[in-house]
Amino acid sequence: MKHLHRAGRAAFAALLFCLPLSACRPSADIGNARTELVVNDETRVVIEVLAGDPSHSLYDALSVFRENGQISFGGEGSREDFYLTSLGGLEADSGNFWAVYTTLGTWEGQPYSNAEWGTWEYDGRTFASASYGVSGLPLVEGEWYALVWTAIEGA
Amino acid sequence: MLLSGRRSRAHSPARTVAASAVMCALLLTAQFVLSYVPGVELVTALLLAFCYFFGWRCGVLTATAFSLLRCFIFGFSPNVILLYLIYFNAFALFFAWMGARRRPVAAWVCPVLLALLALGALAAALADIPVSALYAGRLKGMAWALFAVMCALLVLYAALLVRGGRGRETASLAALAAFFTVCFTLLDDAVTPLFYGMSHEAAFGYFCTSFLAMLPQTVCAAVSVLILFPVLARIFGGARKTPPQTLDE
Repeated sequence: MKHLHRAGRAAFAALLFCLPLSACRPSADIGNARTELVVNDETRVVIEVLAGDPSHSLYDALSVFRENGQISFGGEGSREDFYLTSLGGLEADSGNFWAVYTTLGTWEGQPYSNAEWGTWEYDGRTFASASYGVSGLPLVEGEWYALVWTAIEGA
Repeated sequence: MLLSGRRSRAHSPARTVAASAVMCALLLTAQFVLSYVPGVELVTALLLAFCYFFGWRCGVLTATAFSLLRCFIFGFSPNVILLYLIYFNAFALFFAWMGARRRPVAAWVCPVLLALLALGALAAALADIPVSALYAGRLKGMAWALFAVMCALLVLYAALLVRGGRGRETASLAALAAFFTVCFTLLDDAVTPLFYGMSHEAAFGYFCTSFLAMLPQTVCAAVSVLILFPVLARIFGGARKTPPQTLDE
């Protein structure tokens, strides 16, 4: 009985500890969309869309996080055709690049990713290689987007 | 004797190299400066007028030098080098031949080309293009804009046809420049997927998204040739001073 109390207290303490952590995840509002920066480390950036707005792209979400100072990224092109080459100071080179993955499959009849081109696993979710760059992926509610530092095959 | 003197001046290697070098520098500058403005380019209008007046030797030399030297500014991509070498050399040969003909193309050719482009744009505007929802609206807008411009060019061509003279020649060249610009994108849609070994699905996606670049470039090529050709004709015609070498052959 004493052990059960102790375990219960530990679980409660863990919950109390975890709740503020999850609440501290950076979030950004873009139009009607609300996104959350789930992971941001040296080789991965994962974004979850809590509320969708398909008129805005993953690029828009990344831009807001950049404006808020939560991430840094660079690349070529405009908002409509941005080609991301660096993230968090890590610049794509002849051996590695920033691959875009998403859980967004076919939406409104259009495919946005293809698992045949590659997949990536995170937190029990399978992300497929995106069919578009960051400018071509709409923010759809409940979907996840990931930028993963990836080695070029054969390089 | 006089003809021989004129021929030697027109065929002088130094003259050909000098004219090509100046033109190549001009093309590189125009492309670099306007690379910051999406969809706007003057290379088509400049090279077209140059090939038209200076002939195929200067045209091919300039097209080849430009295709290779631009890599120092925009980077070395083998598929792009191949694309530029094929396209701009074909472009130079065609418009040099047009200049050497000394007569405008048949009256029906340009309206047919313009109508073909207008129908293609209309089909793109009405069709359900399988691309990202973020691109679909813009693509349709551009397709409608291209359709409107092609219709306007058709009307303009009809007006110039009635007027005759250099106006008709300019309108013909503008229509052909628009047609060549579409061919450039279609050639890219073939070369790049083949070069990178893209799947059919990826190649089709590449083809659809290439419309985003093609539509403003086509409009830009048609409009820039229409506006600039009369001006460039005076400049190049004056700079050449002798008939195009192809006329002498």
